[in-house]
Amino acid sequence: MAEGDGFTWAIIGTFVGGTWFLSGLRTWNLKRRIENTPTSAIRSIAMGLVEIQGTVKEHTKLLNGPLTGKPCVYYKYEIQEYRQKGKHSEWVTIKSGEQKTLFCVKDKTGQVLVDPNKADIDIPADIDKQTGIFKDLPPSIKKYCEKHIETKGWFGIRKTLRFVERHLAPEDKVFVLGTAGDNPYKEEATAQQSVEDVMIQAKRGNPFYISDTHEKDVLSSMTRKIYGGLIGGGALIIFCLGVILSYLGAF
Amino acid sequence: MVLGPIILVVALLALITVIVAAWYIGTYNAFIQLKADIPKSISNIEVLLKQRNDELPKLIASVKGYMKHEKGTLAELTKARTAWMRAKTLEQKAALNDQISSALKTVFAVAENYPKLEASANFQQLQGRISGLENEITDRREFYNDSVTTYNVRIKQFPANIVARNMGLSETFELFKARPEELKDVKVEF
Repeated sequence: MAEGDGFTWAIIGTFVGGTWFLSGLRTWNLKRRIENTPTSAIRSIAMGLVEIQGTVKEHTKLLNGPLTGKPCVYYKYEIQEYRQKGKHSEWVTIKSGEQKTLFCVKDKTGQVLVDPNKADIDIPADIDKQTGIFKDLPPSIKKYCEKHIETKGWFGIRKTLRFVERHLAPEDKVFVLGTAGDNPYKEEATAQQSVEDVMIQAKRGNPFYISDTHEKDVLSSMTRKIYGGLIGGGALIIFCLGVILSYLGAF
Repeated sequence: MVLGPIILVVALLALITVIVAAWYIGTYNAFIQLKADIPKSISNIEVLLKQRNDELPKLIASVKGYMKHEKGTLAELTKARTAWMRAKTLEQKAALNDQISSALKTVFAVAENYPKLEASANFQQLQGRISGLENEITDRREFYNDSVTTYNVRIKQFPANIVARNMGLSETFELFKARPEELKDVKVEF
């Protein structure tokens, strides 16, 4: 590594640390909103910021997860290829995509429509497979690859690929913090129950967060992100700043 | 003079200051939000109470022809509704709401003794509507109580109580409690 490289990496590291730090602060703010908002029973949702928990139900249509083929209301996928350039090697994203559709959340008291557009959807990977020279592909991914990507490189040698898909499927548990507003898909005065005239949606200034885990797990995961962001980000900033200063001869 | 360590210490202190400031501002704003949520929760209950109480005259009109022996219950319902409309405080409203809910339970239970009334489409519709509203009122009462409990606990918790003290927040809010007789089953005389 050339001498100038260290300096450049330290500057990049400072920005990365700053981003982690800010992300930690943002997560802290969101965690506080979740902690301070009581969970509403769906049948009695009031307009404004609400927190609900229940299971996913389809509204009018379902999507299909591209890698798993599973019917779902939301999916996000990414396909990466491991590439080597001289001494360096890296994972390069060769295909990615995200799609969402309206869905309902049902609890024991009723169900409500959710428009997931502009939501921060935080769900773990449902499939995370890596293939290589001696590793075969699962059938659903094989089917996808036959239509969309080339899995073999020079001399027919299988490429090293990584497939990740996360989705929200019917009957999955779901936690939503969003704004209850008017349901534009329901004609006025035709609702049998008042909640039919409500839709959870994004609103400027209010958080809109969707996860497929329980509130308790959402909060624990956020606590880890906050500590990681504030302590990890802070430490990285200080370390990189130290490196920059040493390059500038301040020690 | 070696500047490096000084700059690093200053940077570390700046980061700690940012964290403390973020905590203080976040806690301050959270208290404002929590306090504002309480009257909003009360309003959300009152909207439903009003809707429920608006249905009562229709219910009384539809049942009084059948329930000739239950005049006392119906009179109690009318009286409690009128008093609720005049009530000023949350405590009074909560107590009167409990009276209305209790009288309604009696009316619906006694209605089983009047097959013609039970078969009436108008009564069935009113019963469905009022029972639905009663359930929603119960949910919103729970929501209100959750909001109040969160607020009451947060302003006492350390270190958030330092911010609460600086904001002059020391008064806790009353829960929307059910009267002891509400918790008992309704007795129906045959």
